[in-house]
Amino acid sequence: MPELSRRGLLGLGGAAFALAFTTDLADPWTAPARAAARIDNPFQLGVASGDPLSDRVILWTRLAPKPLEPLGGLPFAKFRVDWEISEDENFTHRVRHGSTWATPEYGHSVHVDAKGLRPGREYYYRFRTGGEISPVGRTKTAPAPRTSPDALRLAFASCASWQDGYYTAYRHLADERPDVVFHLGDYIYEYGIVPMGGNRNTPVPEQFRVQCDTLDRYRVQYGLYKSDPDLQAAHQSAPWIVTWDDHEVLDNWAGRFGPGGDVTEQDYLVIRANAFRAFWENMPVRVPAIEGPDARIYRRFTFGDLAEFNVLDTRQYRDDQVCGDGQQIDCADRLEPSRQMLGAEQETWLLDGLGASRAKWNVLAQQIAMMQLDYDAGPAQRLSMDLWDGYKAAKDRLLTGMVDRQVSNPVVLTGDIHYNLAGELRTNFDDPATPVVGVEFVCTSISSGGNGNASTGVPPGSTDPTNPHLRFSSYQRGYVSCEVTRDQWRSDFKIVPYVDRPGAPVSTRASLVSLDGAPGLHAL
Amino acid sequence: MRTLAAALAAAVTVTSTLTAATSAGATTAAARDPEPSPPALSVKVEPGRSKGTGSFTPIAGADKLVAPIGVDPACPATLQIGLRSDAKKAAYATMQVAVDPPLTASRPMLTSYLPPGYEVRAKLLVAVPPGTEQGTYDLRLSASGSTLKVPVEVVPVDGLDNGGNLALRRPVTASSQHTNANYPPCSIVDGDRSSNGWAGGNGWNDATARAWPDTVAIALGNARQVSRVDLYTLDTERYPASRHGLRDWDVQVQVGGQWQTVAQVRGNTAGTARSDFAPVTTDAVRIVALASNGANDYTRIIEVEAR
Repeated sequence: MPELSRRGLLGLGGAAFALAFTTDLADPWTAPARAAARIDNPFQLGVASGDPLSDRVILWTRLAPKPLEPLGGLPFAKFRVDWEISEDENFTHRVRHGSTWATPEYGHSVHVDAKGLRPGREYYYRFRTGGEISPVGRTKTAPAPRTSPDALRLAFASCASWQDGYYTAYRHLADERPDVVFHLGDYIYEYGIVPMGGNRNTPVPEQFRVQCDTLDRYRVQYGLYKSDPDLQAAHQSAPWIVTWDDHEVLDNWAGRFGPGGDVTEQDYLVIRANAFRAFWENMPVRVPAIEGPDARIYRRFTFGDLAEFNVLDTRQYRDDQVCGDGQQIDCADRLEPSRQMLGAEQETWLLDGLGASRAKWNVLAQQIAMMQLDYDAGPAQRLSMDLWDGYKAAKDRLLTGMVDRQVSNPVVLTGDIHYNLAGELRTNFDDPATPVVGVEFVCTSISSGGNGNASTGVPPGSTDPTNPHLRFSSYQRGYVSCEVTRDQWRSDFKIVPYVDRPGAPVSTRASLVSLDGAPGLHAL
Repeated sequence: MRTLAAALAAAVTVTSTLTAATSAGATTAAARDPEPSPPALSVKVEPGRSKGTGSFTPIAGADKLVAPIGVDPACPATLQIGLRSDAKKAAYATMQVAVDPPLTASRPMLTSYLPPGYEVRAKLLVAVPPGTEQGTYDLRLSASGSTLKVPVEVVPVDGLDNGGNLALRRPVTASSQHTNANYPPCSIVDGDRSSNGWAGGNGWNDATARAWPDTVAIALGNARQVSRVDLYTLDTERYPASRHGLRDWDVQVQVGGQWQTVAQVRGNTAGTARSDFAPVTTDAVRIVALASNGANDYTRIIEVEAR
């Protein structure tokens, strides 16, 4: 980031100030909190932007002079935060500015919907509180609705277990300065963290030993994750559009079904409410503040007539995994027609939207692998009950629904399984003669699983003998960078050779394209 | 998603004839996951009826907390703390937690979603730093203007009311410790026989899958007469001892610097097993674990008591 000019910022004058917070009986701090007018180093969690529309974007920060404390080291009081957005990095062409409150009920997070922006252009933004100025973030609005953009550059990523390694892949993603970044979930992991921080070999305080369950515990987990400079760089480089997967809450949660055992459904729904709230506080999302265990985050983004993105929630409305979850052979229950993955309401919303779309590329930004993945090399078919394979009827309804609606160029973006995959989607995966409906790109993890293994996988353009629709795979860490034009969708699978120490170089393991109007994958 | 990735890595290695894969193992994980790794969740919720007063009431799971001096910091004194809502609507509520110095609490607050009438409880750890004076200290739980004071009695281990359990809070030495979650050896003498909270500091899991024996020794502080050892292994509805518990072990005592086997347990499938033997004067008790009931073959011990 360039040196910040403190001259001319906002021009409002006066230091930010704090007010005692005394109105909410839900909170115990009856003694007025005397917050200092000045907060030392409040922007240690960086800045972020997200959910870009053609005329607005969400600007985010969270005040935390002590990022590893539940309220970021601040008293239970609200703080005034100024913001500004400019056409240039030096803030000489400021276009909008304002002032808002960072309140303790929301972990002193700030979500500003900066409106009145021009379509398809870069902006720079920053915050100020208590005389301190934040780092500068770059963002970009979506193209205007009735235009025909030539190109879109995006990246997508998932699965960043902090203790499994460094976020070097996020740093390389930041260097690309894409138009938009999609994060497909497992941004945090709810697990407790061991004293020496796993692969990071970095001491982590005692309060991280236990698993996330209360809101204060989820807050410090986000505080640890978001302290990472590579993650901050990735947020500062581009607007993000995020969804959650399982580890934002609990491993493999499904709808109203938690982990079971000692954890009752009531326990689980309270934990889920805490997890959802912490997600909202820490993400640059344009959804209403989350106030309980139910929250709609599925939503749609349109980039002119070039691409439309349906951001899905495949966790909150699904039926429970059948046959005991895990990988199963001959699990009849997975075929049960009434079982839901998206829930009836989201499924209708999705199919209606796909049917009405005028976009050339119609994208599902979601969590779990949709292509069939048979894990048994022999004649048996061993499928994962947590993936779309475990919800066969719901998958068939979606893929057939896209064929029926003649949806233009379906592209599915997926995370979750810590593996780079590219595959062709068919209405019947067991019959290679059925036509290709669309393509799926699965990004590997940023760090989860550790270094990976360069010597496994299916080379790009080849065919996996067990899963003939699978045209590329690799078990390495990284992200996927895409260039979308009117003629083709190109995905470059970017990988780093290690994550157990910082500074890994980036390289492209594979490049695959799908051509407009001819669903299928081709290796470059 | 965690276990699946490793499986997929292996599967693609096997199924792809096109790779130049030379190594059989596709994952980098050196240590096998100590399956099961159930959630170490401490939140418990109790539904109830709201009085509609709008207030939130602090709760403690006990009238007092006894915190021994000089024990392993990995096993601090623990207390359930919580909050009850008499509000009309669900809310995210915060309770402030403070303890007299030099004691330290594992959390400065508890914040949780709380439907009206509900109680939410979570675990609080209270640490006694070296050099702390014996005496009574205050733990204060505050919400809605009301404060609940819980006395914390800081006592030397020799001053504990151990109910006859000579192992309680004594130093523990283990052959290894799995580091994927919180499995401190000292947890086998923390006075908690319950398997709840496994992987969250309430039991010992060794680090060597399918390698035997594993040992865990408890120094009794002085020569004591012992004639009975009770062992509690992992045993919950979801993770029954018959699959996840310890199966075979020897009970040993140390006499004149030499370990002697005084009892053997074989074929155990229960959550607890009692060994009685002729009284012997000893300064340490050791469990030599020889086999478990499947599930990756780790040693998983919740508690060991000696009488």
